[in-house]
Amino acid sequence: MSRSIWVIAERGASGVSRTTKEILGKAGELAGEGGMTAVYCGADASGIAEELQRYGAGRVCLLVDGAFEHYNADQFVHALAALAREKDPEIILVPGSMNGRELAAALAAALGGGAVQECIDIRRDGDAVLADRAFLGGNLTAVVENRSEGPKVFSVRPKAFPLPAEDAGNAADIEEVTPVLREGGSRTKRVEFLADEGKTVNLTDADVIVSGGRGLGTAEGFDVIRELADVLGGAVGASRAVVDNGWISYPHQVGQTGKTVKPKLYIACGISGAIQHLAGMRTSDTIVAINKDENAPIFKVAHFGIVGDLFEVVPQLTARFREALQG
Amino acid sequence: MKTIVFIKEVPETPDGVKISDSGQLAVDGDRAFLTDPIDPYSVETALKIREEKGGEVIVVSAGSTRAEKFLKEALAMGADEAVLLSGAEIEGGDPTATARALAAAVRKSGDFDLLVVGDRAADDNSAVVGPVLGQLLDIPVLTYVSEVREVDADTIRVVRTLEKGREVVESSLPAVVSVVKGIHEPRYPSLLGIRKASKREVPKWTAADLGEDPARLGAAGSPTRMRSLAPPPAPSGVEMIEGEVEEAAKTLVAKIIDRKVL
Ligand SMILES: Cc1cc2nc3c(=O)[nH]c(=O)nc-3n(C[C@H](O)[C@H](O)[C@H](O)COP(=O)(O)OP(=O)(O)OC[C@H]3O[C@@H](n4cnc5c(N)ncnc54)[C@H](O)[C@@H]3O)c2cc1C
Ligand SMILES: Nc1ncnc2c1ncn2[C@@H]1O[C@H](COP(=O)(O)O)[C@@H](O)[C@H]1O
Repeated sequence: MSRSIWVIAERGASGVSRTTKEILGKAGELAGEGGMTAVYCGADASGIAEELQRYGAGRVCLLVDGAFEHYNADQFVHALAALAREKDPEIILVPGSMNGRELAAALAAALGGGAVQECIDIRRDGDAVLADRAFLGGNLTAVVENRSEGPKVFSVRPKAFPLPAEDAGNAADIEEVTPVLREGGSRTKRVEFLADEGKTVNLTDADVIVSGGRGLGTAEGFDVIRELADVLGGAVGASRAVVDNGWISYPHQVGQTGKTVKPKLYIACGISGAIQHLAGMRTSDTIVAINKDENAPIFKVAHFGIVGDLFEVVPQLTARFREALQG
Repeated sequence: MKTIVFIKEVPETPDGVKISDSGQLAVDGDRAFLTDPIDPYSVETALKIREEKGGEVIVVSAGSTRAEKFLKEALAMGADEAVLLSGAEIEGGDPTATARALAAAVRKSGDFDLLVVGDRAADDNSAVVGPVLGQLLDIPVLTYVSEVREVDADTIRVVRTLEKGREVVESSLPAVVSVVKGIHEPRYPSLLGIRKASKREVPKWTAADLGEDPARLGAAGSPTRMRSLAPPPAPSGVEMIEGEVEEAAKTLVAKIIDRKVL
């Protein structure tokens, strides 16, 4: 029998995370006769199996235990590696969130192989499994073959694949498995979780990002950026220059040494477009640049550009968007 | 407290970066290299812990002899010892194979309390080495650490900065910690530090010294292999919106609404 493809399911704000669903869609394409299995570790799996089934899982494997209340590599990797040794899947796809990337790397090592991280595409070429991913912070793209002898582990960047349509009619075999836990428990323990100020910093999930650069002049310059972001229901991004200046905190930084983002709309205001900034945002669906220098390199990757003073242009855009979106 | 810090040379720009014959990341020899921008933060983290708890800081890098220069930069900052893992059997591996060499070096150097790595290297961006070290040495891993709150003889408490907030985690030691930029502002090396470091001899360990099976190291031992490496596709070209500010804003908003991205 041919081997199965696993998708490690991750919980999001409500139910299964969006990246998990995107990966389920892709796994369906890659799966052969061995089918596709969604594997979930959690303290409580209510509603999860049904949702995974609606997004195309052929089999759902639930590992339910209090040890999985919060993600911790010790228990998650131990339990998933034990199950993988037993079931021997061909491919394991992991959502490329920060914890997901840690999990993918550790799980691959536990199984004797190596992970390919933050893939933006995965496909077969004969017997080989290939993935596309960025190197040097997006300045280069590589096709990487995962030649691990055991299961081949890949983490997948959020928004690499479209969200598949829900299919209420899809039926999955749902199985609850007793997890093999680490003897002596987890060596790490969550003491506290301090939630961020909310969606404003969650750049990776945001559909719209309005970013500001040194052209803002001062920290207060971000007020016009925030207003536009609010009207669009988007998040606020920044260049490294303004993070270094202390005008806004590091979680807002986009680029090679900040976040890599792929919103539907990215509006760059007073950002010159240094290669390290472009590395983090050039794959956004639609890019708008506002800069008073017509030769700013940001215009080379933008779809639309306005040459002008951002303090004149941005408030106008805010007003127009407010009209258009309310009307 | 014995802390081992892992640093890495990276190419200064993407120019000259290519694939080796064995499908690994390689760089034309005449290009400029830097110590990975994250490295000074990793070294600083270890030095801060030593200031508080005493002990020693050892810096380790796997790579070409060029990396000796960057190990000396870490010595100049204040690290106690440095080791270079070098030679054809070790160089040119993927992050997993590299981590195996690093793990073997850790075993060879005896007991330790803490390993510090960068969250991800600036060239391969893989964020693989830290978690792999954790598995190979059977110690817990704490990734994306933005703050070390407390270190005791056998526990560490850190803050991990994640997408939606900060997680305070406590772990037993020994452990691996991967740090993010900004954890501590790196100190500048003193002139005396630089002078002393320049005179130091950096020991070089080869695969034979590590006692690791060469088939698991370097290009030969790499479970991943690149088939191609190229710049991303060129952008499609910009449409400049001209006219008075009010008019331009109106036109742009209409075009964006048309694209149905909202
Ligand atoms: C190893 C390394 C890693 C890096 N990582 C990152 C990273 O992750 N992210 C990142 O962003 N950068 C990164 N950088 C820094 C990068 O090289 C640039 O220095 C930085 O992106 C510049 O930020 P900026 O565009 O805001 O500032 P500037 O380059 O100073 O550009 C300001 C722009 O604002 C325009 N402007 C000024 N006033 C106005 C106005 N009133 N209205 C409209 N436009 C105006 C100017 O014409 C100019 O184009 C990195 C650099 C290195 C070496
Ligand atoms: N060749 C190397 N020598 C020493 N440390 C390394 C090497 N490669 C990676 N590391 C460490 O692992 C971290 C993450 O690298 P990577 O997994 O390649 O993204 C780096 O910041 C270093 O601390």
